[in-house]
Amino acid sequence: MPRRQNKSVVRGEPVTVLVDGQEVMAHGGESVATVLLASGISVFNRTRKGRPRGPFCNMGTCFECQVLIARPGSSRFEWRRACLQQVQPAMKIRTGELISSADFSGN
Amino acid sequence: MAAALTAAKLGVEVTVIDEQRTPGGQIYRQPPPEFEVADWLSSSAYRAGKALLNEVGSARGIHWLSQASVRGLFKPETDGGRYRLAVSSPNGAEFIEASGVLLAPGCFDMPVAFPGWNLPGVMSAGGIQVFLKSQQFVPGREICFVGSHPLMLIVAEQVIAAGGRVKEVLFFQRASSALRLLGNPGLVFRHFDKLQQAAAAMRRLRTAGVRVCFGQAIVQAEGDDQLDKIVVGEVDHNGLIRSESRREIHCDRVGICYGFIASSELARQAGAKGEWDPDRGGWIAAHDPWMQSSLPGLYVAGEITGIGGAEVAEQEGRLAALGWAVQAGKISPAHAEEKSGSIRQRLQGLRQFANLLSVLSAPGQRFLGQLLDDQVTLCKCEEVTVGEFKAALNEHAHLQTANAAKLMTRAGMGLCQGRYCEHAVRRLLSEARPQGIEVGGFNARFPAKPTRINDLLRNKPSN
Repeated sequence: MPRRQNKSVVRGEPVTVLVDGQEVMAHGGESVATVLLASGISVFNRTRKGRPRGPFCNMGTCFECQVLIARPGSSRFEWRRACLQQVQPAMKIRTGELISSADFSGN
Repeated sequence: MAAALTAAKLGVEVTVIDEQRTPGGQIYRQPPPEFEVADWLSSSAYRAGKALLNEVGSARGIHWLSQASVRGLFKPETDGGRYRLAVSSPNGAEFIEASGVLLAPGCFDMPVAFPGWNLPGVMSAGGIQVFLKSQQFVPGREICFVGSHPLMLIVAEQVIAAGGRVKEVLFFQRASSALRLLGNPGLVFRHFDKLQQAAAAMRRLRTAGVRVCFGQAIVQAEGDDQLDKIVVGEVDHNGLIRSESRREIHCDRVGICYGFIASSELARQAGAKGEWDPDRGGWIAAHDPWMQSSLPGLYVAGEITGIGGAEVAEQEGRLAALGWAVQAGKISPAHAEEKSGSIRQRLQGLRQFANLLSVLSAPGQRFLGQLLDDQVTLCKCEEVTVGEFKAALNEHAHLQTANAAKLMTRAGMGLCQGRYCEHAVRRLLSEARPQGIEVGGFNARFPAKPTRINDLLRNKPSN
């Protein structure tokens, strides 16, 4: 299982997010990509042909790591690159969904 | 960072438009401000960069825009006019004007297509490094690295240092080619410290139980929805993978490391001149001795001038700042010349090593081409396979350029805007068409990255 390195690292405040309806513990400052991999999720989205995709570049250029994210208090899900998106308390995340480039929200 | 500091000290009004939350780019990519990391990037290799970060943190006279991304760079409409940059940030879109612009947009890991390269679990080695450096996170239980670039050794070590497990590091170059390099005493003497670093890294990896192999390359990544194993084959003295020599390595994360591609889209968009060199970053910008591009007032530094690493970027940034300061009347040409002496001397040695490294670590077009089986995904965003692309080229002989092929096949039309398929598209096109045809690259247009129409419509009040 991918895991956090804890030697001489103090992470930010604990943060709870919802991933596919389940509560997952994370830390302030972590990227959504880190939190998803740490909880054993590897399929971040599926292509139009249904193929599984996950993080590749981890720096915002490849667009492979997109997941659906709704801000706390909102029910509007938008596609975001998980490698660039920091977790926020009560953020809602949906993984493994079918990508449609028309839905991309540009962040 | 170096350019901003140099320019600000000379009285230039500096704005830095930085895509990330905190300074440092990708090489000095900092942990989130919410973390406290006691020994971040403790290796001596990072010392200079960390010093820059400190200086930048307390410098006055630099306006640092974080999480701001330049989507468009428009050259001045008249001589002596100003450049316009279309900038996107979480607050929306705005135009910023400047009389001088320095582009130091860095690079991204070279994508190499092979069967299974899009499976979750397959990543760039650089991407794995970002998890380690910034997020303090080991992104896999059993990790392998495959490729041609010695960065693999560094990242593998960083995985081990973070308590992770690396099974194997596989270089496609045969040991004999490395030995040929070492047979050149002048070369060894001039770059001894770097060669020593690489050798030491290999020793430490072997001590940690990691297999470091030469003459082996990945031919396939396999798994259901997630990487389960890689298949590797032996590379013969012609650089070809022998099909009868395969073996499997079980792993859940593989880092691909074949080099880098310069992020050149803004320079291309603005109309600067460049040349194509796939072994040195792809499209690289032409520049004068002061790092000014073919467009007056537009300077370039770092990977965009040819992949060279952090130190080259730093020194080129200083030169560009001096060049601009002369143009802006902040320093006399004689004074700039004097200051630039030691920079140029340092650069000469650094560029020499960078070019050597490029030659040694470039996978080469023939090697990469043999991985492109018909069923391999060529354009991962639009899911166009190599076979589909080749069929289109066969059927439509008039398709002679990358742009034409893109229009016909959709390869290059997806969200990554061709970053992950342009090189392979050019390669396939060059192979399918008579020698001498200028296939070119994808046209670089606004916006350089996907941008919300909503953001463009909203008018941000100018500061």
